[in-house]
Amino acid sequence: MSVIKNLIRDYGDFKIEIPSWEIADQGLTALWGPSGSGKTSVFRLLIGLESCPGLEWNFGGTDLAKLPVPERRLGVVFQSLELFPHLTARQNIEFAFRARHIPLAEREPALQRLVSALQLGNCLERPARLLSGGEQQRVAIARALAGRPRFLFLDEPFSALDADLRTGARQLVKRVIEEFSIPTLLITHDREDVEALGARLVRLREGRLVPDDTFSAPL
Amino acid sequence: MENHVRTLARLGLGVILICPVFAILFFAHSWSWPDTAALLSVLQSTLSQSIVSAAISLVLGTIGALGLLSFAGQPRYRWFELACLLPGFLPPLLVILPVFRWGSWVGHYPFGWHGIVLVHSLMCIGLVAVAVARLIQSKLGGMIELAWVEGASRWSLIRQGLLGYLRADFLLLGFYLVTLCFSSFAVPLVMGGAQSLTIEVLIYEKIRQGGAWSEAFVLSIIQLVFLFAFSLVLRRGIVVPPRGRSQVRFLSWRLGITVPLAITFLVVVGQVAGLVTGLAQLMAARELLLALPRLIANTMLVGLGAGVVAFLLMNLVAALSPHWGLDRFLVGYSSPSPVITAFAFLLFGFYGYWGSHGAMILGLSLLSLPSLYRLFGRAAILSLGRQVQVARVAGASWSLIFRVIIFPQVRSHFLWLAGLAGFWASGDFALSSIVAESNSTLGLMAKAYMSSYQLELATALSWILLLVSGIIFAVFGGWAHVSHQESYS
Repeated sequence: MSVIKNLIRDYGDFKIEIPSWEIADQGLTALWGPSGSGKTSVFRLLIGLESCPGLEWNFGGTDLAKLPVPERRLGVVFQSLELFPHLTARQNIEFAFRARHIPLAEREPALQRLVSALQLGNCLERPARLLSGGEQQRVAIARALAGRPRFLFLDEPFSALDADLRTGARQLVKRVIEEFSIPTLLITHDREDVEALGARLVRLREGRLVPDDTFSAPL
Repeated sequence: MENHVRTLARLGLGVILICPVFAILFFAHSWSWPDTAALLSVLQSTLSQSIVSAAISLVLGTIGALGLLSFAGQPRYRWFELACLLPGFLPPLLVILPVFRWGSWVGHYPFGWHGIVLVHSLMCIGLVAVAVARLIQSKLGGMIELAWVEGASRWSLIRQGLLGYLRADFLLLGFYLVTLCFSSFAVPLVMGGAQSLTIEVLIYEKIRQGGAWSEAFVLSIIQLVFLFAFSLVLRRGIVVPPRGRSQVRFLSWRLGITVPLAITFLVVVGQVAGLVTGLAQLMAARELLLALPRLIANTMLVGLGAGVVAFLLMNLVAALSPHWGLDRFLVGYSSPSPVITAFAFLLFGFYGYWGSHGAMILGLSLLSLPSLYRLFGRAAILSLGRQVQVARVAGASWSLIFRVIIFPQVRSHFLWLAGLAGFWASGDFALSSIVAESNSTLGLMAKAYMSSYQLELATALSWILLLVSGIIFAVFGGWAHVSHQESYS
């Protein structure tokens, strides 16, 4: 288990208040809640994009919260994906290799593994801005995994996809997470994401984690 | 370590931008309060011309906006926008020239307070028209469509929507115009003649004629206090939204477009009138003809140099972004006056051919940086914020992020901005007139002919200036085009 403590931040009109939270350090955990419940704030605080002075995050004996953002070694897929539009799919993925100083000899095999797992063979040399929504999402996941993160964050990864693409995308993500055995936190408002991925469910309401029996979620 | 270097670099950039004020502070040695009556008079005159110019620009610009809206959604809308923007983006010299030619109803050289207000208004009305039209489309578009469907009258829309809902935006725009006119130097210098009608010109006169550094320093501090107060109001920043797609013709008034278009027409025709005579005079003016290659070369040097320095400065800003403090500083920061900047370079020992032209290049690029950042550069930098976040989380260093993510994506934007900076710099005659040892550029020479009412020769030179400025802009524009192709091929 990785243990998070003092995830507390007051935004004035809204407060995130999670004194303690144990996240499994393997498999997939879903942070689920309605719009405005504070999911994105939790996500940004954990990644380190917003400051949270008292935060502790013990992961395998290391307090990740005390490390600068680049040294936390996290993988992230934003809802908006944020591919680098001027680079090709391959260059997007290779950027993560360069950022993490992955040895040159290991890059090509790692790239091939990602290409195979995420079915990127047809779009690897195309500029990111010309990829379809589904392809962009797969490249974003590949880029997040390329840096060999200790933890993967997925922020509403399926919300930008059409309904018919969503089912396939969920299956692919589930398979890739299992294949790469990387602990993952999925942020979502869609209960179907949680069920399709078979994730452990953590519910968030008004900035607080709530037990299952206090909140009946609309399906 | 990398973060410390970035913090130091940010501080360094701040110091470079405000170094002219430090220079005056260092060399002034003593404080001397200027004559209070003269100070109050010039303050009153500066403020009144700023406020009246802003008010005229707001009223006539809004009328222009209503005219512009009648073409919303049509392909020619973009051309009308460009036509409206032209007087505001041309070097002031080219707007002043038609006023010299046809402004006898305002007075004769020096035109004084009325002339300053007239030129400021001519330069700002088109800008206001474009800004207000876009504000209406983006903020009132849906409301206008709904009101149209429900049968509201145009007057009720203007009263409740335009004057009610957009009141805060109008106030902000008004303050922005007041600030612009308050710190203007080129226009009061030419239109006011020897009269010190604005605080900026008074500082100029104090130093240039009287050598009264200490009084000039106090005056510049007073001016900075005013600009700082304005910047507090403007800290929200002026953001001109993109063109909207709403159906706003219900609010429009087609005739309104004649206001900004008439100004553009006046400015353009002002360049054409007297051109043939001017060229004939130029051919006959042997000395001027012989000096022309040197004037053109110097103007090119200043324009291209200022463009390159502006490009480097914008890239430095991008490399040190995103940073809340830096952004706030650049948004709220008002450049020290051109006069203070120019004299600071003289104090630093920028003399001789290379010194004076170096001062023009550095001074004009420093002065243009806040405008370039606020008007265009900021949006390009901020749009990459999320990509930078992804790259940071992925573990990338700032240098890798700049090289691979930021620079390739902002390069072509910044080259266009560099072209604009070069275009403005090549037409300068304000800062240049202080640091130059002679009329060494086309702008300075044209201003000299204009001030001595040799308008035909000034017109001929202004055409050559326009050609040179256009080449400078085209050089950077071409480079920007190639860069864009490289980045996105």
